[in-house]
Amino acid sequence: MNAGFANCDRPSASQGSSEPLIVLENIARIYGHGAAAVTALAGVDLSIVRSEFVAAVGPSGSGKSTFLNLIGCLDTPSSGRYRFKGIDTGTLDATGRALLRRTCIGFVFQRFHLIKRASALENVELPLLYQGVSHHVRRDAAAAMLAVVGLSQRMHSTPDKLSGGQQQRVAIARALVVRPDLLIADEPTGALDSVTGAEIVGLLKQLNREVGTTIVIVTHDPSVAKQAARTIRFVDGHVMQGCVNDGCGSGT
Amino acid sequence: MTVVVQAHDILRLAVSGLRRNAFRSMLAALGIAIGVGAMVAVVTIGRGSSAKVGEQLDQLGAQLLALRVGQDARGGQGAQIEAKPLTYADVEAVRQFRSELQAIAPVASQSVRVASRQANWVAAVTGADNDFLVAKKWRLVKGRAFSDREMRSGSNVCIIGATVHERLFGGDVAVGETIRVKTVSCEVIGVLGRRGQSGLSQDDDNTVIMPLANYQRRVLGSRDIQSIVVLVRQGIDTSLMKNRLEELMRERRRIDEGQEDNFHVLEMRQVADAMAETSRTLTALLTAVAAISVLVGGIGIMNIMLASVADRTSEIGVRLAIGALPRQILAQVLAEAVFLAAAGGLAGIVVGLGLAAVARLWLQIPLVVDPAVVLLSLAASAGIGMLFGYLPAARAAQLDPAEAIRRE
Ligand SMILES: Nc1ncnc2c1ncn2[C@@H]1O[C@H](COP(=O)(O)OP(=O)(O)O)[C@@H](O)[C@H]1O
Ligand SMILES: [Mg+2]
Repeated sequence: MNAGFANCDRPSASQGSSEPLIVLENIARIYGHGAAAVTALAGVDLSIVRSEFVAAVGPSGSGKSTFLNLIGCLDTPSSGRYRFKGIDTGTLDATGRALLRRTCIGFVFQRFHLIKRASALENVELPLLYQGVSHHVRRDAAAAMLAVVGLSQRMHSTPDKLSGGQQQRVAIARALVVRPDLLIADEPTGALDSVTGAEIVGLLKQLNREVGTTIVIVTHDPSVAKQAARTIRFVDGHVMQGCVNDGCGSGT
Repeated sequence: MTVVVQAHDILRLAVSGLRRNAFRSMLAALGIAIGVGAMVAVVTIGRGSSAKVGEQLDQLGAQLLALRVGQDARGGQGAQIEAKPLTYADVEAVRQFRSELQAIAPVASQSVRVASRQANWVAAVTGADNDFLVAKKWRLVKGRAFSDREMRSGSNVCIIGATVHERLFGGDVAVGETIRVKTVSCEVIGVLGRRGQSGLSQDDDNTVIMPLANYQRRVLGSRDIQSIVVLVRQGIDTSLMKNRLEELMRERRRIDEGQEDNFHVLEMRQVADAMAETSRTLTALLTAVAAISVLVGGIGIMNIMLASVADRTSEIGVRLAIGALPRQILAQVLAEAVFLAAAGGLAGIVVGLGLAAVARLWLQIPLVVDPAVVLLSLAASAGIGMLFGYLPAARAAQLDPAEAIRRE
C-alpha cells in the first residue's frame, strides 16, 4: 500500500473530500522537562488546504521551525491532535511517520543538506532509492525533475561544484521527485542572496501553480512572505490569526 | 507490500559511507585483519605439522616397535635404574613371534667420530643387520645391503646416510671408498636415500650402519644389544604386540608382579599420536589467543562505527527526513560494519596463508590450505561485523530526525 512514488497523487481512502490536507487541533510542543522545559508551541489550531502556498513568519524563537517539523512528521507534539490527509498521526510510530514522509512530504532546508559526495542526480535519486524504485526508473525520474528546476546541465556535478542557488534547486528537485502532497521549506532563501532567493521563491511558486503541490515555507524576508497566498504569524508559540495576501500583517 | 531496497543499493550506500573516511575505515579493518591473519596462520601451520607427523609415521612405519633397556624417558622418572643390556638370547626369544613380525633387528648405537680422506664428522653409528633396513624402511640409492657372509664374518663394511655422504664425500662417489669409524677402517658398500629432518627423531640421515657383530667387537667393545627394533606385520595390532613383548621380557628379566620394568617398548604410533596431540593442543591454544584478538578487532570496529555514526548525525537525519526508514539506516550501517570486517578478514586470510607459506619453508612442513578454514574465517569476520556493528547501527536508526538534522 505504501509502495510506489506516485502514492500521494491518489486521494487517501480515509480522507473526506472536503477535509483540509493539514489539520492541527490544540497542538503543543514542549522541549525538555521540569524547570528546563521550553514551550515552543502553546496550543495551535490551524488548517491548510490542498494547493495552498503558506508562509510562516515571526520573530526568531517563536516556534516556526517546531511547527514545520510537526507538520512534516519529523517530530511529534507533546499534546493535541495532528491530522494529515485525514490520518491521525498520533497513531503512527517512527517507521509509520517515515513511510508517510517518504511518499507525501518533501523537505527543503536552509543550508540545503545535500549528500556531499553524491552528484546532483544521485542526490535527487536518493528518496526513490529508499522506496525501492529500480535504478533506471529512478534515474529517469531524477533527471526529469532536475530539468524542471533548470539543472539539466549540472546533473553530474557534486554539491561543492554548484552555487548556493543551484544547490537549493537540487534540494527542491530531491523534495519533489516523490511527487509529495506537501513541500515544506525552512528558510529556503536564508543562505542565498536576494536575487537568487527571489528566483528560488519564483520556482516554488511556479511548482505550486503548475503541479498543485501544497507549500509551507518559513521566512524572515517580507518580500518572500509577500509571494505567499497566506501568511501565518507566530509569536511566542502562538499563531496570530491567519492572513490572506498580506491583508493583516503587522497588526495583531 | 513491503518496500524493499535492493541489497546492492544498500551496499553501495555502505561503501560510499566508508569512503567518507577511507583511512579510518582501513584502521578499523586492520584489527580484524591481524586477528584473522594470526588465526589462519596458526591453524594452517598446525594442520601442516599434523600432516607432517602423519607423513612421517607413514614413512617410518606405523607398525614399528622398539624394545629398549631402561625406563621410558618420557615417563618422567628418567633415572636409568640399573638395567642390564639385552642379549642375543633375548633376540632369539623375540623370534618366537616371527609369524607376527616382519623384521626383527637387534641394534646398538653410539655417536662416534667418522672420517674420510677429506673430512671428519660425528655421526650416529649403528650396529645392525639387513632387518634394520627393512624395519626402518631405508632405501639404498647407491650400492647394496650387507651380504650373509659379511654379517656372519663381521667384515669391515658399512652403509652411510645422506648427511654422512655429504659431509665426508661432498656428495661424490662413496661406494668402494674407505672411511674410519673411531679407529676401525671400513669400506662403504651402500648409500641411503635422504629422509630429511623429522619431528619423530633427530637427523636420521646422519648415520653409519655396520654389521652388528663387527660394531660390537670393534667399536662398542662388548656384546651388548641396546634395543630390538621390530616391524609388526600389516593387520596386526601394534599395541597387542607391545603387550606380548613386555610380558615376554618381564618373564625373561625376572621382574615380579608389582615391580617396575627396567625396559620399555616404544610404540611409534603412540609417539606420533602424542606428538599430534601436542601439536593439536598448541594449535588450539594459539587459535584461542588469535580468536580473542579477532574479538578485540570487533570492538575496534564498533568504536569506529560509533564515531562514524556520530559524525554523520546530521546526514542521517536528512536521510530519515527524505525517505529512509529506520531499518534502512540500520541496514546501511550494519552493512558498513560487515563489509569492513569481511574486508579485514579477507586481508587477514591472505596474510595468514602468506605467513603459513613462509613457515612451511622454515619448519619444513607441508602447506595444508583448508577451504573450510578460509570460509569459516570469512564467515566469522562477517559475523563479528554484524555483532559489533549492531549497536552503532541501532543508534543510527533510532536517531530523532528533527534533532539530528539540527546537529552540524
Ligand atoms: N530541540 C530543542 N530543544 C530545546 N529547545 C528547543 C529545541 N528546538 C527549539 N527549541 C526552543 O523552542 C523555541 C522555538 O524554537 P524554533 O521552533 O526553532 O523557533 P524559530 O524557528 O521560530 O526560530 C525556542 O525557544 C527554542 O530555543
Ligand atoms: Mg527556525
